[in-house]
Amino acid sequence: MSDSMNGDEKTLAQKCAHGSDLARKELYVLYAPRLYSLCCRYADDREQAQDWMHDSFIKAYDKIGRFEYRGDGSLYSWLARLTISLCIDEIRKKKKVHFIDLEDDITQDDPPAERVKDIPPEKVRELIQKLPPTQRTIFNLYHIDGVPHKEIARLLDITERASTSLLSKARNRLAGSINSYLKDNE
Amino acid sequence: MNNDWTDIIKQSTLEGGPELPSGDFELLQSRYTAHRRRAAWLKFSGALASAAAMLALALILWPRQVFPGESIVAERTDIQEIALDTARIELVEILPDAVAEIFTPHPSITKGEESVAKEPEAPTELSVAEMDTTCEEKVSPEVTAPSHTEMKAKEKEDIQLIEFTEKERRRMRVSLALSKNQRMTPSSGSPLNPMYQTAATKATSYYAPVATAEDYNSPISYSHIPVPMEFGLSVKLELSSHWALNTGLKYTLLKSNCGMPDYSYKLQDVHYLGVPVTLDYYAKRGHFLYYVGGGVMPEKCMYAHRGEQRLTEKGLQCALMANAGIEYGISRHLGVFIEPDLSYYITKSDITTRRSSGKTTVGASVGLRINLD
Repeated sequence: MSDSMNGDEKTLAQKCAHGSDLARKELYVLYAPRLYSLCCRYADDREQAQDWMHDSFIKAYDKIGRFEYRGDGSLYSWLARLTISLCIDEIRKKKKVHFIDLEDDITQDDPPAERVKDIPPEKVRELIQKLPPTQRTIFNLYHIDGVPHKEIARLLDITERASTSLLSKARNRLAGSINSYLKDNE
Repeated sequence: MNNDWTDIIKQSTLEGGPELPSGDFELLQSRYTAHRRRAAWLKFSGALASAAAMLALALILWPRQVFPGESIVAERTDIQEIALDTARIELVEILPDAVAEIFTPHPSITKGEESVAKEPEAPTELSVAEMDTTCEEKVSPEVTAPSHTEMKAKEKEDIQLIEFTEKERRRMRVSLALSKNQRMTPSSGSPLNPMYQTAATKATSYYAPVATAEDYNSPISYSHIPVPMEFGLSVKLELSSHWALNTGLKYTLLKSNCGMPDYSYKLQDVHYLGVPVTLDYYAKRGHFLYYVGGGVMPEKCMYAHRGEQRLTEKGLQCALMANAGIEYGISRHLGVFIEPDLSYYITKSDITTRRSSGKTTVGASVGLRINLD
């Protein structure tokens, strides 16, 4: 995020709320890359991610009058929450998610942190993308976006226990993928 | 949660990220413009629907006297047609004297009441029509040749009569002008007001019936407000993936303006409550739901009045219905629909309404449908 703009978040939000096209463009320029990246993590492909990002911007433009400034970074937090909520809605609308994974995964060892650092970010995103949709969603929500299990359970309409279990499976599967990648690139 | 490797994964994921496609903002702008248009249209439609609902409610709760020239279409009866045609013929025959009499201000008016005296009207299309309806009372005194002293004796009465006739003439003029190309319906009662017919007119005019007490309470013409107000609430029961049974309640208000023998008008309101039952065949394509169906609708007259007079209708009215519609699903639980329909009334109503002149009615319903699945 452009730190120089943080102080102007409130003004920017106000201008957007008053219908300024310039302010809307500024909001887009500032936050679109990160929101697009966020959508890419939840969506199945880039095209879908672009659609979801547009939907979230449209929703943000409509509702920005309700935004309350709570310090630097609060505008992005608000936008991210709105986008995540929209992504989850789309996921729930799009498909019937099966939360029961019958596959009995073999427990994987955690990959060594110092070697994970060497993995290119694109490869990391690719490995996360290969997770089953529900596990990927919970992994993204919990580890990347910092959403607690209670909130995940509410968003996905599942129990906290199911959320914990699915996260554990996602971590185990991702650890296995990373270990395989590291082994192949030794 | 704070495993080292997952923290590194988080940092890697948040770094950089995929690049936005080129021209993305322009695409977003066009989508946002379309969204705003749609939102504005929805707001406008909502406001329009609310206004229409409020107007309809106001009309129901506050019935007023509507004259044929305002927003309704007048219907002339067959008898009136004959009467008017005959009057035209008579008018041509007695034109030299009668027109002179008609177009000459009444001596008593010019003398005493200057404000009442009116300039002769040019014989335009409208005024010909108005003469048709009133020629009797104007022409007849000339035919019978009443004495001047008699006229003087009835001076006050005549002034009132002429004032009244002028007023009614204006009403009739508008009514007749609008009555062209309208359907004819049989009517009860006399075509012209017997109250203003002289003895000579009664003798020479075969179409002039003798007024009875009943005639004064029966309308001589009906002017039906063209669009009845209908509101409905329906429930759909899905029988299979393609068949559904629809039922509910339908409220209909039929308004008519009744021309009475004394040239006054009375507003007639007839309130019906019906229970439509239709069997629909439907198919779903994306957001759209297409359906066709048919059924019956028994209706009960809940309340009817003509002016102060309460009207009753025994039994039920029954209609055969056919309909087709398209529903667009805005969301999972909400859809908008448009539904043209055709109804044929198989029973005869005791009260003369818009339906009496044509048993088949064609309409279209537009509304919102809430799906409670």
